[in-house]
Amino acid sequence: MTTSNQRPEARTATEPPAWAIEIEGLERSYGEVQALRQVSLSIRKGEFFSLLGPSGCGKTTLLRLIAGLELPDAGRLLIGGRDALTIPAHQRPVNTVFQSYALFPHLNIRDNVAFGLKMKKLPPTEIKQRVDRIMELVAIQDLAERRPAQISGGQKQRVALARAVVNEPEVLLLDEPLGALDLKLRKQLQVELHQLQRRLGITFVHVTHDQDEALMMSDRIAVMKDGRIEQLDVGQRLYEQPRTKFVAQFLGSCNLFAGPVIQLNGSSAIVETEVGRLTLSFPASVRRLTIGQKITLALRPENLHLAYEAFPGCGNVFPAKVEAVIYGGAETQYRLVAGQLPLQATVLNSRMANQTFKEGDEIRCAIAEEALILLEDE
Amino acid sequence: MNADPQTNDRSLTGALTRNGHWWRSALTSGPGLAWLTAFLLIPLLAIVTISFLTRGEYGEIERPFTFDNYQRLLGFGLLGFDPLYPTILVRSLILGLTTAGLCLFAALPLAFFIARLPGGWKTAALILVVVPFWTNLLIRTYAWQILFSSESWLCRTAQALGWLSPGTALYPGFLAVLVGMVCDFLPFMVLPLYASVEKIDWTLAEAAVDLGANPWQVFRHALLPQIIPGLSAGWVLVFLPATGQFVIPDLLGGAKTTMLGNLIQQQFGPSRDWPFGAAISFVALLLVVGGLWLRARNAPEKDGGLM
Amino acid sequence: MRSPSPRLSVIAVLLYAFIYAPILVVIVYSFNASRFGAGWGGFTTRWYEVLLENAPALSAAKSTLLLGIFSTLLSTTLGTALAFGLARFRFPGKAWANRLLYVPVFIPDIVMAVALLLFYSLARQWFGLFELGLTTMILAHVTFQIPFVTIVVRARLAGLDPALEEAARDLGANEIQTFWHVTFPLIAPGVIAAAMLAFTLSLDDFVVSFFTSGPGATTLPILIYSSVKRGITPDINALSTLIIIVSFVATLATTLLQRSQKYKNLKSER
Repeated sequence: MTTSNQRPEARTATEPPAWAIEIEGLERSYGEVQALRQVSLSIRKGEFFSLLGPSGCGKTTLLRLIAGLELPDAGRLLIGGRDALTIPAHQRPVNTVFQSYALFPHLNIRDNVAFGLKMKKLPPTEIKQRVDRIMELVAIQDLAERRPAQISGGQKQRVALARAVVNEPEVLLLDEPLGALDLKLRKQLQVELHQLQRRLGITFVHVTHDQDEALMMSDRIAVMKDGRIEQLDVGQRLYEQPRTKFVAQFLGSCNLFAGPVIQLNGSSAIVETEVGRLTLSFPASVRRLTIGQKITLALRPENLHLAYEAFPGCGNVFPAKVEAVIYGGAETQYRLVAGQLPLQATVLNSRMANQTFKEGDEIRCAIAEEALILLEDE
Repeated sequence: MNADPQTNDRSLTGALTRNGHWWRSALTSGPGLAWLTAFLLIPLLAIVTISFLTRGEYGEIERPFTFDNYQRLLGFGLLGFDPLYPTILVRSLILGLTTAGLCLFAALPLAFFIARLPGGWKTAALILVVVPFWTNLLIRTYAWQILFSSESWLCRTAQALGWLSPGTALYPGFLAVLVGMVCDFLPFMVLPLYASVEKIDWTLAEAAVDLGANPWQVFRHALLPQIIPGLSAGWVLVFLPATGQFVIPDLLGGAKTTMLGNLIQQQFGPSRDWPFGAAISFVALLLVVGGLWLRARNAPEKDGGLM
Repeated sequence: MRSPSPRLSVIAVLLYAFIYAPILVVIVYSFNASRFGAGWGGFTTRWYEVLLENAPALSAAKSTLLLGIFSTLLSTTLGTALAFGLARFRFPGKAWANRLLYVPVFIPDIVMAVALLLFYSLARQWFGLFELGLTTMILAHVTFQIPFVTIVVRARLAGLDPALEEAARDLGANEIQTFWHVTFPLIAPGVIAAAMLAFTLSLDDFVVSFFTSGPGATTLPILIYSSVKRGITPDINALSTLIIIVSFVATLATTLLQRSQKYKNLKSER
């Protein structure tokens, strides 16, 4: 995963970026509601790009603007370097996989897949060839004569995908493509979708509210909130170095500490938090801190280390009490309380280093200096 | 997210209208609206206009602008007060109200009956209510002439029982008109009422019984509030057209049962007093518009519920 | 739910008898040998034979059909386009257009009839247009049919998933292609239902036809009306019986057709 996430990064270093989509200052409002505020971003050719955010964050609106199903109030949109806002939806080199699939109920599966090519009036032999190939690729060739009402949700998803991909668009837009499927099927199709994208080399722009899905499939992710992009980065950096509380909490869970800076030396700082003094090390480039400044720190649950006795040679240690133990198979979650502050910790249930704790235990917690994430003020 | 399909704004259409392509509207809505304007709006405006004009000597329409037609309708003619026209107006309203009331009275048991039938029978019973409606109104109406004539078995029986004096008939008369009206308008009351009865939450009735309500109280307090939407829709669908009905009073009524519709027909037919006929038509139109307006004001539900 | 009580059932059966009585009476009397009055004079099929030689009745049947077909074709086209425009686009005055649509639904027939009569006679006087006849009747019928067609089709359009049309656009279909390849096939059942409703309304109409027909064009309802006014003749009973049978068969056929279609849809949804 790490390698694929960093692939575009590597590419930018060697060659000039070839943008599939460039967006500048895009705005769209519906009456009182501002769905998009000054959104700017660029998506590379061949990239698997995800727009991630909660309901109403504007991610679907952004997708529909790219598709041409809506027009913006202001801003610029280039697709493949050309101004797309003057091009109507049916002439844009993009295709969409709709959330509800939107398969045509009056056409059979084959005619659904062939729809786009027929609209372009391609010769019948070519249509047949391309439709056959793509239907085989997504393994729906046996459904050709069925109607959309006669196939399952997972099959509909594949048909919707085939119907879009057969047109060989420059960019494929996917609006919560797996949202209507059950968990198991979703996991399977996540893998398939990812592989398909690699195989076709088409730029995918994928809208989802599922952080795991975004992390697993995407090269880069834009986290959106209230019509703005909160943070845009590769999945690993979003998870490990979230800039804001929102991003930290939306991608995975986290513990939060807050307090004033009481001491600074170089690239480390000491902060007086609810659980006592915590030492934080941060890259000098990140931000200038001043003594007395109130800051917020985030910590992933898997980086909160637990033990009965003291950790030798470790600075950030404080006592806590186990409130609840939630066994989850591969890992165990602990709900703790340190002073007044509720915390959570995740411990991998590996045979190698297995130490379990019980409800009511008085234990000690330790945090590595590098694991603490400095968040921006909101 | 933006899954709300109601808001036009967000859809493709939103994008199109924002582009301001007026010709899309013109091409689609244009011909139909132009047609309705030419053959409905303008004729109605013409009616309103001539209702303020004067009938010429030979029935032609003449210039002098006047309120005479409306004064006449209210009973203030050349020869002082004459109750003829106000009576007709009131009689039509009474006919409309009585028809709607009787239809309601008959539709209630029928709607409850249908709603309590098992699945397949329910559809069949509903279709049975509608089927006569597909037969021409004229045919259904003149059949009552046969049934109500003095030699019919119905009247013979009534005569034998002494309910009717020998040799007399029920037709023509107000009763015949009323029967014909109820028979014709019953489906329009049954259908909306049934739609409401079908949706009744019977647990409320059970709760009322449990709390010691008698059958009337159960109906009044637990069931009636639930069927008000159907009642009001049915009332509009019966009362408004019944008040302006022309064929049924014409075929089943006599000179003594002239209604608004007949009066209009007379003015545009034999009497050739179009301005006066136009005034009556305009009043009938206002009745309908007023009725719809009242309903729209009191029932906030959507138009669709009415159809 | 409880099944209907015996008392309720008896009342319901009586009410059904009440609404079917007139139809049965007409059918029975069409076989009545007695020429005058309501007395029973024995069984005969003579009136049906008489009817076959009744040239005015046959020509009225022809006009009725022509009127129904032409007005339905026109009103279905105009009404469907109007429904599409009202459902899809916004334009100034749309709220008023919606109100105008409901006028013919509720307006008394007679008011609409005399308004058209006045309109035609004024147009004739001033421009020499609209000589009363089959054409004026068709124009009049289309006017009261349009709103019903529009309301039915618009309901169907409102039930359409907007994503389907968006998908068509997204797949490269222009507006016209989208309409013919996606929208129209999907609203077709609604359009057919609307056309059948319009046709029935046309066949049923007496009042508007009566006022807008010329001396040359008579429809079956007008023929029946004038016979009734002159005194019912037995062959009118026979004619009415035939009309009743035709409309029953037509209604039954369309109901069955719709049901089988619904059944097919239901099956394909499984």
